[in-house]
Amino acid sequence: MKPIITAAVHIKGNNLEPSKKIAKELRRADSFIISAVAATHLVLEKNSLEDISPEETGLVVTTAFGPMQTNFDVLESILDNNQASPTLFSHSVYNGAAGYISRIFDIRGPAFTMTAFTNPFFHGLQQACILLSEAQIKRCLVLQVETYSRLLDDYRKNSLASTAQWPPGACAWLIEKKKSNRQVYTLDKLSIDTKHASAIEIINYEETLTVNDYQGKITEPMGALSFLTDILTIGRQNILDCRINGLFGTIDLLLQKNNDAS
Amino acid sequence: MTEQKKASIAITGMGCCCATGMDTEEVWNNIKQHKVFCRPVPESHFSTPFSFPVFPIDYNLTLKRIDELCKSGFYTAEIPLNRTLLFTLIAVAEALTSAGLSPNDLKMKRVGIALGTTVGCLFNNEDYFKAWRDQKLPDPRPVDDFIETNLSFFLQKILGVKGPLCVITNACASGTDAIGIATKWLEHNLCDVAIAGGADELSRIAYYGFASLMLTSDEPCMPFDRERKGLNLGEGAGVLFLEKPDNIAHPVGWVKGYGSAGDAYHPTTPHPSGKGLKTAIQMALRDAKITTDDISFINSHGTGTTTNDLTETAALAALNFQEQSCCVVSTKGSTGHTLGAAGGLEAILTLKALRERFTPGTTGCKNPDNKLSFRVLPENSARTLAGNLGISQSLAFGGSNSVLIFEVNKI
Repeated sequence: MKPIITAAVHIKGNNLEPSKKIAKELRRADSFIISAVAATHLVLEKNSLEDISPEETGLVVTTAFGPMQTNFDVLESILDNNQASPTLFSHSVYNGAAGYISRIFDIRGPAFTMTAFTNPFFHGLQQACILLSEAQIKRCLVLQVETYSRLLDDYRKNSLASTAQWPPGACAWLIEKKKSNRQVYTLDKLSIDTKHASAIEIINYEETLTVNDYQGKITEPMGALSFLTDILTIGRQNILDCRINGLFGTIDLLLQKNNDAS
Repeated sequence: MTEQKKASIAITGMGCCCATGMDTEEVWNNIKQHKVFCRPVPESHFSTPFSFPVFPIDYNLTLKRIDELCKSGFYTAEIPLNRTLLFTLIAVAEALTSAGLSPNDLKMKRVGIALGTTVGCLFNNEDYFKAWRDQKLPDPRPVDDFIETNLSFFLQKILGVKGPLCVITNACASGTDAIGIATKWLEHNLCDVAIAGGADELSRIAYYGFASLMLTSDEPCMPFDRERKGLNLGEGAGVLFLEKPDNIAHPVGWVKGYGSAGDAYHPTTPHPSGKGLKTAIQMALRDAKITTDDISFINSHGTGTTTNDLTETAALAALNFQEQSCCVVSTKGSTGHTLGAAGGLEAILTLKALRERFTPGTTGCKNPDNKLSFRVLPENSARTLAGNLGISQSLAFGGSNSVLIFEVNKI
């Protein structure tokens, strides 16, 4: 069984306006949770979960830096007022976003939040494929969410000669194992070879993304994923032979359009 | 009755550290004697006006153990600031030694590393943060250190190995999920061996956060007791060394099954009926191809909060576990709640109990709450276990519930 990608979205920005349908649920949420829920909402609008039971759907949320600003907001409140807000604290935990997604969209299968400073999404995608190979899981949502923080921005500015701010945002892919009548991409190959990188290499983020004949430079933690998500969404090419390569290792990904993905 | 034999994953080594001891034998022996190392937050950790005690690891003991690892050649790099990582190194070194291996033995294998943490993936250096917000230009080393010491990536670097990696941050279920994930890697042939478990350190943010949620006790915690007041935070690490079952003659035990499911209910409170926990247990039982009747021991999440205790026992009662043959305890009265480390630590304690066919009662539980839906073992009632299969289960913020099933060989 090869997993198929039945929907993908990429949203940009840090101050997203959630749609009216979900805004009420998010009135106390931070930008990390809002981005995660907004991306989930959009990807599920493309392909809803209604025909699969809540226990048969898995969730993998990945991130490089997590809800870093919220963590600092909690720390600031402790240092200044000797107290923490319970809501803010519960949002500063990395898997707060997965909890919101599970509750709002009634997803009751395994929910993992995974973190890595480089290409966390593809580690999460590998895990989602394993989940799908288990009999009880039929569909899995995989996300990467980044909101960064002012402290991180300043650290990067001070450590590097010149730098552009990393763009916040979120990407979400919905992967399934059932046949589809639609033209969708099968995930034919995913291999990850990781190398340990220094802090300066990570904050100076640089990788090369190759997709078929195209080659481009990636300069931020969600760059390769954002690019791939955008071309998946457009869906013009039949084969996407991708390699993400650099100081952090090599990731190979082969996606093939197929309407008989069994 | 077991329906069909499942090819389980072998556990060939284990290592841990927490306030209760700096290695597995010390921790287990102190738990059997119900020793409680709960005390006010040491100044070496952080200052606080609150009086909620914790289960801290003496920082000097940590450094002493790391120094020993340096002398033995296990660890030769600069000592990082990240205490979660130091606990991990201590636990991994013990796990490898108990598996009869040195880091060199791993070099030719595909080694998966799955570790769970909550505090260990947060940047919580207060001096840097204060200097930064005062618009000073702080020494960048704490941030460098934070970025370079992602647990699994750093461990892969110092061991010089290749294989799948993951840092899972599922709050209090992180360690349990890390072991479950590594087990699946081995089943799917992504690696030959795996290092899996959890680690976490005490931090001011978690301490104040749990206090703000009114979940912490101002006394040593009393899981399942009618007088309980809440949990005590702790710190430590618990790590298993896992291998494919081929040619393993005398493993510590076996990972038989794993299940994970969500409540889809509330950010910090479990579903009152234990909805997600029941599903997770059922998934793990199916994975292990066994039934509730086969389980003779459950190391519960047992934090000592009323909501947790009622939820867990409601789920166990609903699933028809047998009160007469299945002993349920919590070990958090001895270790505190070590958050991301808890799943790793409690997996080890489950294996120790199964191997000795013996469990001490729940430290701190003098008079079990009569509202519990399932009988638990209070402190004064140690028991001989009836079988060789046990469960270690974790509940977490975000509504995650994760369950591991272990088996030990009949001795």
